[in-house]
Amino acid sequence: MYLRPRNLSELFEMWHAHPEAVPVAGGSRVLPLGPQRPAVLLDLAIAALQTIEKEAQFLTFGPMVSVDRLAAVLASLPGLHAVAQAALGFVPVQVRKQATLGGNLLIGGSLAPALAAVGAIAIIKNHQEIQELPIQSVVPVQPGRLRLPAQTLLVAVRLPLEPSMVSYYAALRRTPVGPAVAAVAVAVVGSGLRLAVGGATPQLQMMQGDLADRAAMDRWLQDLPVTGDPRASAAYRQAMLALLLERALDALPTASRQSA
Amino acid sequence: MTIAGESSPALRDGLAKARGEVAFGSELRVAGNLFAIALRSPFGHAQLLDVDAAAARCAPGVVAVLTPWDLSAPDVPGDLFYDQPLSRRPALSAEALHVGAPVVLLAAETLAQAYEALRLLRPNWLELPGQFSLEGALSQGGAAEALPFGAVHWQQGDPQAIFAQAAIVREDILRTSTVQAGALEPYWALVEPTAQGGFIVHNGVAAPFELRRQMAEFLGLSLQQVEVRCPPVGGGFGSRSDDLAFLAALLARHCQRPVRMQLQRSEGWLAGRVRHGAQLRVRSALTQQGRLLARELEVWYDTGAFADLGPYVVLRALRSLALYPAEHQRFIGHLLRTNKPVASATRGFGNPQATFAVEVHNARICKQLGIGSLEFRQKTAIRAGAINPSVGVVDTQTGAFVPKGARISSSALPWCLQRAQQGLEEAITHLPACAPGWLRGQGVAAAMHTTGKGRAEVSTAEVFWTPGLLRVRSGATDQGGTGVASVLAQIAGQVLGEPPEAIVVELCSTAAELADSGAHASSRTFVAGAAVWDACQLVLARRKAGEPGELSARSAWHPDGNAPPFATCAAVVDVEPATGLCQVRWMGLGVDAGRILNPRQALGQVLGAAMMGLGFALYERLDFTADGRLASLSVADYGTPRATDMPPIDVWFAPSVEESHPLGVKGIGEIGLMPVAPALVNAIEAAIGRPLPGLPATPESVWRACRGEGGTCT
Ligand SMILES: Cc1cc2nc3c(=O)[nH]c(=O)nc-3n(C[C@H](O)[C@H](O)[C@H](O)COP(=O)(O)OP(=O)(O)OC[C@H]3O[C@@H](n4cnc5c(N)ncnc54)[C@H](O)[C@@H]3O)c2cc1C
Repeated sequence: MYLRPRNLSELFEMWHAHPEAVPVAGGSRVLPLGPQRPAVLLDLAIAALQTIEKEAQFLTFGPMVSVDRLAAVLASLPGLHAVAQAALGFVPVQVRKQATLGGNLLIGGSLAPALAAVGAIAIIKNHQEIQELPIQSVVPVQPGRLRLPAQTLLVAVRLPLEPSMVSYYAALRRTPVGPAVAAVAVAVVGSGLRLAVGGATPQLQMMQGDLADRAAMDRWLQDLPVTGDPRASAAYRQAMLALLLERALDALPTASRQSA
Repeated sequence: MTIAGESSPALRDGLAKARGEVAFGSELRVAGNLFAIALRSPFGHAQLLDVDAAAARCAPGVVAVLTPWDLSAPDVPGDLFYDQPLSRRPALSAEALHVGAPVVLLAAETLAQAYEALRLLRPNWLELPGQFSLEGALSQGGAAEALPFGAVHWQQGDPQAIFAQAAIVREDILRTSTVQAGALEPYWALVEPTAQGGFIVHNGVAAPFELRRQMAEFLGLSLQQVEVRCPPVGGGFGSRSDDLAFLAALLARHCQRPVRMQLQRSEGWLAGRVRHGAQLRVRSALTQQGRLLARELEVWYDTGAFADLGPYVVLRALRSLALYPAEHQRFIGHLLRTNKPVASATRGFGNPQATFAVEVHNARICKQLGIGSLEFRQKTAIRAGAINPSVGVVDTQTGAFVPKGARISSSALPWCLQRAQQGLEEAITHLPACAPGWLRGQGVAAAMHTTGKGRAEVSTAEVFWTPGLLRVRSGATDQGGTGVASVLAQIAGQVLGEPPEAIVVELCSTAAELADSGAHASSRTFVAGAAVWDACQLVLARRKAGEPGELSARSAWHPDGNAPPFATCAAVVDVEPATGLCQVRWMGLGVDAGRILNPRQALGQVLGAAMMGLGFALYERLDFTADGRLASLSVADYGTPRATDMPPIDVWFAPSVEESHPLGVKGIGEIGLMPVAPALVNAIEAAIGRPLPGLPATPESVWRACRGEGGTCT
């Protein structure tokens, strides 16, 4: 069954009537499931989830904004460079145009570390209430298992427009379109640094620290629960995280020059 | 991109395909066909103790559920290895010998109903120990040999004695991974019972007459009661020797209704056919000046749960040894059984793995001795007029290979090597410098392959001509866009002087009794093309004699030999030692496939092969867990390259004519693949100055090699 609500209240009504319904955003994860596809699908293609709003301190995206559009909008905002890089690094372009910000974030895709590093906020809603959460609390802890409570929708992602922020993202893949085996995103405001790591660990990992305290970053990286799988060994991933961090830190002055 | 050759006539079937006018097999439905699926083993090795199928049998739309105990399913006969049925295997068995092995068959009115019912089956499994890796099989020694006679072996001279006294002895051990062919069209079969008690089998098989033979034996019918139809195939690459037609036939016979079966992509990786993963050992004895005195090639091919075409596949590794004839040579080819998906005849037929090992070994020899790679190959490679020791027969009692003394009648390999060198020099001058922190390397490799199987090949053609209408009927199949119809039309048109629009080509089912040994071993233009040419010559003679009315002729053509095609690949690769990332900047392929009848189609074959070679070299690998389950997580992880991942490629066709063939042609379908992976790895090794352990050259393996954790060479 394919449910097609016209607005948010109709969406929650339908979801209430079909609690087993699974939301479809870009569908690039849900729809290729073939015979294992859920029996009831709930289409999220409604206008209220596709908006982009600019306020003085925030840029708020509806979860249905495509990864491609996200990259285009953020291209001119140096502070959010990391998110734009992560969105642009998403291959192939056909999927990038189809896939959404919300779908990607909720499955812990390539955007997650960059969004976490820049301090994005997830806004979630069920039929009763709206909640604002740090982005990392909606990213899966177990691969493939969504972390949102039942019948809860991600309705927006809010990115800070912090003029003094600079950010950078780098990732490494084993195959041209495969997922990253290691990804590092760094955002710096003044001397404060937020570092997020994806790909190499089962869950998104984050630390906050001081840009000057490189030793603390290295220690943190060393202690991460880095895993090995057919894509890459733990040792390789660990080494690549250190290298990508090095590159990110080297690139930040350039990023800040761009933002100046 | 540059091509040397004639201008391209319009592509006959290509245009129709581009317009969407061609119905592929996977789109085929017949009235009232049932949809079949199989319950497949989730384990690498397990016994199905029982299965509760009660709920599934009663589910809406379900017409049949067949367990191994419901029918005494005969074995799939398999191809014969010479006269031996070494590839016999159960069609459906309670003992699952690999992950994805079918254990229960289910047919329903719709696919959705079939999947719904599949969920209702309650299997009771007993997981069994097994051999889930090539490494494990190697450690078992002879116990894992899949062939009753052990290894295929051949020796000339006394290599051991030479190894004992030569100035230079070098040995390398390399690995290649299990990979899949990656055809776009999924595996499928549709089997219809006929009113006369026979069956029509629709399948994308490469060799319809061979499938007919096996199906007739399988169902206990005469050849005439089985008709095999092969509609256009969306990519085969040799990998369509799967068992789907046999499973669908069991259900069709049971239900007395047409049954269609198609694998999902992920199922295809397990229940289709894959390329043998391999370990290869190459040992050479040389003089200080680089003269090859003796060479030994020992290969261990992982055939998975069943031998299938594996015995032939492992034998073809011999070509890479034959390319560089030494007075003293030895070949040992092991086919090892593991509890992994079945490996079979994937494009290149065992040669890509062996050529990889031999050509990487050659490059390492050249580096060690300080001699030029091209110079070594020019001096050492086999030449026209020489005996090709890789053509022969195997004694199926002892495994001894006996060469037949076949002579190579044409080789433009020297031209291809020269052209590759020139292309490399040009490319190097034009390429922008590599990025800071990256190193650049150049590599070359050469290869020799085969065109068909010699006298064992056959193709039959009928030609009907009246002025302005030329009808060509052939038993050949169009395996995955090889463009065989275009070439047959071209040949017939040229002999009888008719324009393309006056020519109709029919690729017939087995019912037409135009025997054809199948689209394998790069052989259709060579064999089917010659059959059409021969039939046209007969018509031409009658026309010249003034015979009136429609003129027709039939020819069943057996080629005289298997004219080996040759190729070289040169490549430039940039490598970042800090990450192990490799970027192929340029490739050039020199190809000797005899006379190129249709340059555009020939180019398509070479570019496709180059792409497959690049995937084989850098990315592709089917990973299995320690207990034999598939660990490759997705198609994206697997790593088939996309068009946008391809570097600039130059292709040069040698101005060559094969003397032994009436049209002067040799095979083009596979030869381009063979030298690509070794050329790329040779370039990577040249860049980093260290050996790699094998394929694929993943970023991690290159990174490890850079740190001195690389290959096995003693
Ligand atoms: C060829 C290919 C390449 C890919 N490459 C990449 C890549 O480079 N990087 C990468 O990260 N991923 C990649 N993916 C994986 C995946 O498609 C993407 O991560 C994509 O962003 C998912 O977004 P979507 O909108 O299509 O999600 P969908 O498939 O629509 O949804 C994903 C999940 O999120 C849930 N969901 C979606 N939106 C909401 C919402 N607003 N509220 C509640 N639940 C919601 C859905 O129910 C579903 O469970 C690739 C996939 C393919 C097929």
